[in-house]
Amino acid sequence: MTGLLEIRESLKTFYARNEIYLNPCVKFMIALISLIVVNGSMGYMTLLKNPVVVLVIALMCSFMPKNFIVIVAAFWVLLHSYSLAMECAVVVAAVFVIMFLLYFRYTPKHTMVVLLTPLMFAVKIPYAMPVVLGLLGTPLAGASLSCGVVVYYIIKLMSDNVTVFSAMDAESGSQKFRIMLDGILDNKGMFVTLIVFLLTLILVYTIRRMSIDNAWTVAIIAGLTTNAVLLLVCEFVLELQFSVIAIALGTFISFGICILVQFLEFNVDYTRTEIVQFEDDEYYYYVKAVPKNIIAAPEKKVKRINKQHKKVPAKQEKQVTTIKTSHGVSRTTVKQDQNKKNRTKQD
Amino acid sequence: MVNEERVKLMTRMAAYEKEGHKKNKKIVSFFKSDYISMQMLKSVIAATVSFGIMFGLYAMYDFEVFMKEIYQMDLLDFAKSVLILYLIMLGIVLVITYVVSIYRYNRALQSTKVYYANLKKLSQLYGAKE
Repeated sequence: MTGLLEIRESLKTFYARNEIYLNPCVKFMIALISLIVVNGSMGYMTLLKNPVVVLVIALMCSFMPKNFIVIVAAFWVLLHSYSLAMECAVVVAAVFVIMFLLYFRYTPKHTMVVLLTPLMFAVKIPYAMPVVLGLLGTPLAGASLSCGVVVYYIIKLMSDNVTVFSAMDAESGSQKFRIMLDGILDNKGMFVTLIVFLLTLILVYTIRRMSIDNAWTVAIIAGLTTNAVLLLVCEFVLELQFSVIAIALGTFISFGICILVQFLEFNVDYTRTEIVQFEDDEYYYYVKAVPKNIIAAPEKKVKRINKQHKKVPAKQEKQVTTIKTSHGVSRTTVKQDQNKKNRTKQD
Repeated sequence: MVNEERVKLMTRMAAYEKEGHKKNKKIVSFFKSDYISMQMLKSVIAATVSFGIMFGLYAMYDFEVFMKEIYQMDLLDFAKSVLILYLIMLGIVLVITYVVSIYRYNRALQSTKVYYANLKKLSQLYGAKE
């Protein structure tokens, strides 16, 4: 445990020291992964699949504010949708504009959640999202989470119906509209996921704020279990075509992620909990103080084992240096030769 | 020599300046009622545009049927039901905007007050040294 805490402190120090370089790198990676995932799941416009274009745009995102990545990803989805069918692009644009007008104006801080949720869905571990948001945020983040879930299901809807859209001619525009809107409004899977995620988030947030020992761990376990059980129950009742194995595996991996988040964000020592009671003029205070686990980052000490001790007389040293600077190595060798000659003469 | 208290104060203030002083200053530059009214106005525009988009999608969903029915239906009744839906949506958006705006204004005011108090304290610390 001490070793892990030392690693954590080292990581913190490393981040604090190199924040100016790390932040653009992280933004670059998020942008790159987002664009690759969108290209992988949609990829109808060949120009956008060009690796050079993807790299240039991701590089551009690294020097822009965080929310710019979300805007770029939204445009990416929009352009791919347009390439598939104009009607799809209209529906997607309408959903994005409504989201922007009605929600993101209020909470620009949580915008990244909308991007990260579909990404987590793409790597099959979306169950970590509501739990992590419950641990680090407030129930308000639930709105961003909902938007992320909707975006994922819209992308999925288009990729599931590629053949249908491709087979239709340009005249059957209203039919394409109907497929898109029905796909969104009649999507039981989307609504179930949305409600279950929101319930999980609220549950995790409530337990995390309780004054109980190991509140964060209890919240993680309760949140993930509730999430998995509710999804499985809904799967059996409504036949939503959720994969049971995917839910089980995803929950297991999500547990690891949540524990990692807990370790980095909230690491306390419950064995040293202190419960104190005091009063002032107006109130009685019942305070429970839990100390943080803090270990100073180990300092690197460079110990030189092979120290060079040159014991050269001052006069001689002076001689050598003057020779080296004026004529280089050849002169020193000449001097050695002269010494040899003198010795031979004496002999 | 480095004055530890002054450095602490300046660090705290610099962190706040970086985080959101500019934004808070802009909010506090309005009177509370003006700020809330402005946000409400923005929300009315946002809600109207959003409702327009939703209505557009509804119309496009079954465009041919919609165009056929529009000549047969009682337009006044239809307009009334659309208007009621619009007002419900507008009402919800405005209530949320009102609550959020009040919360934001109070928070910005509090933060700005603390910032200026720190500024005054810093000025006093400099004065004390001289």
